[in-house]
Amino acid sequence: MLPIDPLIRMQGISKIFHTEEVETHALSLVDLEVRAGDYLAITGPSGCGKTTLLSLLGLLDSPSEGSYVLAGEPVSTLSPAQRARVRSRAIGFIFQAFNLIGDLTVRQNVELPLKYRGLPAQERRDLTHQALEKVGMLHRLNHYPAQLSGGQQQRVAVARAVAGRPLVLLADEPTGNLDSRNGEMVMDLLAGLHAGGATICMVTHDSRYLAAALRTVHLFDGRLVSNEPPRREVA
Amino acid sequence: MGSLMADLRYAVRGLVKSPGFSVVAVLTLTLGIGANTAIFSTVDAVLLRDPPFQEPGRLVVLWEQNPTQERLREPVSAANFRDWRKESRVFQDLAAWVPWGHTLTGEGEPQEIESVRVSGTLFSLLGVGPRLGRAILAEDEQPGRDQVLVLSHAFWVQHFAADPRIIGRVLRLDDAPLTVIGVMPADFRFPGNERVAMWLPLTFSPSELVTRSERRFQVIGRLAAGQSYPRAREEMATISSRLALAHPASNTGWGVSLAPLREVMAGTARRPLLILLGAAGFVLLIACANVAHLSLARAAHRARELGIRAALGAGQLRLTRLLLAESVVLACLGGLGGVALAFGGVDVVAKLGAAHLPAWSMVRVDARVLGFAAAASALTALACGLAPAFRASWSDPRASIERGSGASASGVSQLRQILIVGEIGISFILLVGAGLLLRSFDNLVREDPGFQPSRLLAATIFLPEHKYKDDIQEEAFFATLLERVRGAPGVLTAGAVTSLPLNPLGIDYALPFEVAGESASLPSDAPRIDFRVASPDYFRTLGVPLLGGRDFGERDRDNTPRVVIINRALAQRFFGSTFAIGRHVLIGGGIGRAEIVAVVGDVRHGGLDARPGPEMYVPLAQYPHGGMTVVVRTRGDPSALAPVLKDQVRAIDPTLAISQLTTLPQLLSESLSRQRFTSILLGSFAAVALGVASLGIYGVLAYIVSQRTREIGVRMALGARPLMMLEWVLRRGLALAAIGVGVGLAGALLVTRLLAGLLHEVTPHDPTTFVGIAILILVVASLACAVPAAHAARVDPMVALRSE
Repeated sequence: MLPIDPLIRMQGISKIFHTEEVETHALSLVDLEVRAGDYLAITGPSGCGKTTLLSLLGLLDSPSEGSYVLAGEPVSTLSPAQRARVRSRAIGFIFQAFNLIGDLTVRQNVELPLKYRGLPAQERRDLTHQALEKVGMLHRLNHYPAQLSGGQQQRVAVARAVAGRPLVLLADEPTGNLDSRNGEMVMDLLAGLHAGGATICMVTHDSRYLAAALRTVHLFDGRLVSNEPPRREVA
Repeated sequence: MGSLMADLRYAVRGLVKSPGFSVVAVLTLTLGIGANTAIFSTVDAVLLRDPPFQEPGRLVVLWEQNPTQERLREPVSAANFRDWRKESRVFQDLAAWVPWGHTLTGEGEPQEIESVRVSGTLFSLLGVGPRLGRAILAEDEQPGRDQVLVLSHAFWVQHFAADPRIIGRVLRLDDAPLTVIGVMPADFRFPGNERVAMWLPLTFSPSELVTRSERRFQVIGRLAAGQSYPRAREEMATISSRLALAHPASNTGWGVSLAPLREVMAGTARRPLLILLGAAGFVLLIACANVAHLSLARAAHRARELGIRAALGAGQLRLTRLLLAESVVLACLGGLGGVALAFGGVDVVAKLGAAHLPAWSMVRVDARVLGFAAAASALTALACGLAPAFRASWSDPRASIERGSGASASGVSQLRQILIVGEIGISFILLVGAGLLLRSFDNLVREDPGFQPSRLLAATIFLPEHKYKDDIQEEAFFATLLERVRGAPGVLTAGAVTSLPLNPLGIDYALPFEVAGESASLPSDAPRIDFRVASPDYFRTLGVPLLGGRDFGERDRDNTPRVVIINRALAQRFFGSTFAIGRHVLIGGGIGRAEIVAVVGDVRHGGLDARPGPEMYVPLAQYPHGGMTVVVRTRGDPSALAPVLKDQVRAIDPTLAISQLTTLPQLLSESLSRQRFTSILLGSFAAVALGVASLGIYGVLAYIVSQRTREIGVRMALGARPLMMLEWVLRRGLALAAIGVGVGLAGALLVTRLLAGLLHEVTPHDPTTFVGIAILILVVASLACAVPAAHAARVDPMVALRSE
């Protein structure tokens, strides 16, 4: 069997923040590979660099040093506009605070990244309906976020993340603002998506949800201190 | 009281801690209150303040009118005036006056004095007493006792240094000694002319008392106690009907028209001033709206503090008062700044309006105007502060404490957006009004006056009757003067005329005119045509084109057949497409039959906004006149030849004064002063309004971007490119501006109809202006959005990952 190139390859990634005279090394020499179909959990204590790593993975920021190749394309030196284009096509975000836009309906929220990609209206409509059906929120198409519970909002957020069929889903503490029942519900959604072939990178503190991932990376003081192998072969 | 002072002190501390907000708010209010105060001071002086006469509401101006001849406000004949005075019961008294120029000699250089001859009862009718000495009385009308005069306050100060010993001083007017008997007060405004220097007694000549068709006198009356203006109109209609029956030749078709004195003194200034007052009010409204939505945002930021105060027991009214205190402080500071601005603004307004505003010398910031400013400041405080104060004080205190934002940010944002739409709408109305006036002014300036005004110098000379007793002397003087002037270096051509275009000074009247037919006499209903006396070379000098025929020349003497030159308008009216030159006409006023020797181009005599009317000219040699305006076309700068012209006049007669020495470009400019006044002021208000509204757009969008930074970060995290976020902000800003333009459009369609009477060759709903202003507002709105849009484009998408 020929080796499959990783979907994400990060090598020697460092991120240094400069504020006045202070340099903060948020990440130092991080090497990370994520293959298609992977389900990776990123964990570590507060301030260890999880959010920074996620922001680099999601092309919200650029590394200070190192290389980042996404789906065979180097992306570490892209301009902000180029990164935004790649994000709209390749990355799906699920945020801890849901981050649905209050003035937009459920349908408009899910459509938003598709609009930024420039997809035609009919295609956007079809993808939106499919995504909402997948998360069980099609019946709330024309409601506003304020009319939904926390769990429902996060389900819509998941639909928004997957509607464009991104290469990778990045979830930042997706259950952080939910009670345990809704948290379980969201984790089940993610498991279902993974079972359907989605590649997921999830930042979490919660040890209950670490077990849901196939692999866990631990960060400490901006360094990758452990990278546990997958529990089973990826098909 | 103690807690009120505490609130005010707290408000001042809060404003000091927010210098940016405070400075912008105070400056905005200063502009709004200052503009209103300056314009109100003008409106007050010209329209509202009672003229300084006793019971001015009972004073009425009367004219003779002949609607069939389209003469609605004509002076009154002496005979008719005498009969009105005798027969009227509604009027307690009637008085007459006539403008009269005199040459003052013996007090330095001879100078032409603007004076007025008045009935002996005029000053008592007005109820005004002199500052020094006595006024003219009825007994002064008697021949032999009429060698007296009363000085205006300004003339007394300028020429005699306010010498209190002026009473009894003898002055020489037209070589006759007259004794100064009084000086009028400084605030006395003569109804007919505010620049009058002297008043002399009016004595009617025997011929004036029989020639009812010689209409020269202005008349004013005081209603008797218990009588009304409608009653006066009825009575005067009855009297004029009786006079028409008694004197059909002169009075058939003639009636009386009346108007309250205050309306006459305001003249044509009323409408433009009221429009400007409305415009200034709009500017203040915009300023208040701007400060209101700045205050809304400020109150939203204080929501946590207000929530804590409420939790500690402060009631809603108490919280409202706390927030309103800031508006009061801002309005007071804005009011003080506005008053300071008004002092300077009043000078500008008075200077711009001096040429045409009645009572312009009375325009000042006084106690009444300060009272207006105080009232405007108080209303401003309420307008700016009430809505934000109510909104903030009625918010949920628990939410305010927990979230730090009481009233939802979207609610505050919505209210601000509504205010900004209103501001844009009002700005649109002001800008369209200003745009229409500016286009109108531009059309006026481009209007062909009918002559070539450049390098033209003009001097008006009135020959004193006591010295130039007959036509021969008058004609000889002007002929000699013209010959000397034509020979002077720097002079190309020279001519003379009784009434120069655009010149308020001059001898201007109309005579009956008809095409000569079988009858040798004029029909009684012959139309009256503007009549002027001109020298040879007048048309060439002025640059009026000769469309056919010949100019007046040496062959046109007193003992040769009568000739006349008509303008194109007259030729078209009476001769249509047929050839007028060589035809004969009949002219009233003792002139008789005359041959048309030329047709000249039309001249806009009454102003660039006046359509040229039919005019006729007769030669100076055949109809000498004692008052002519000499006009000189020069090689270079015409004002440089003014001393030369003066010298030529003095060389012939050193006792003569020149009434007016000016250039035609200056006359042209002065003729546009009213339109310039309105256009400049309205344009300034509109520019201020747009500037303030643009600041408002900037403020609203900056607020939206700051409130939605996280949302912007999320959008960028989801794939929005920086340019998309820039467009997002621009679209919001332009949407507000477009809605504002729509609201303004509806308002402008209604409001601009008020400008109809002030516009020249442009309609109140001119599409070019409306579209142009809409585009201007959208462009300015785009610029106002630029900084918030740039901020939005630079938001770090990482904010999406940060927890709240």
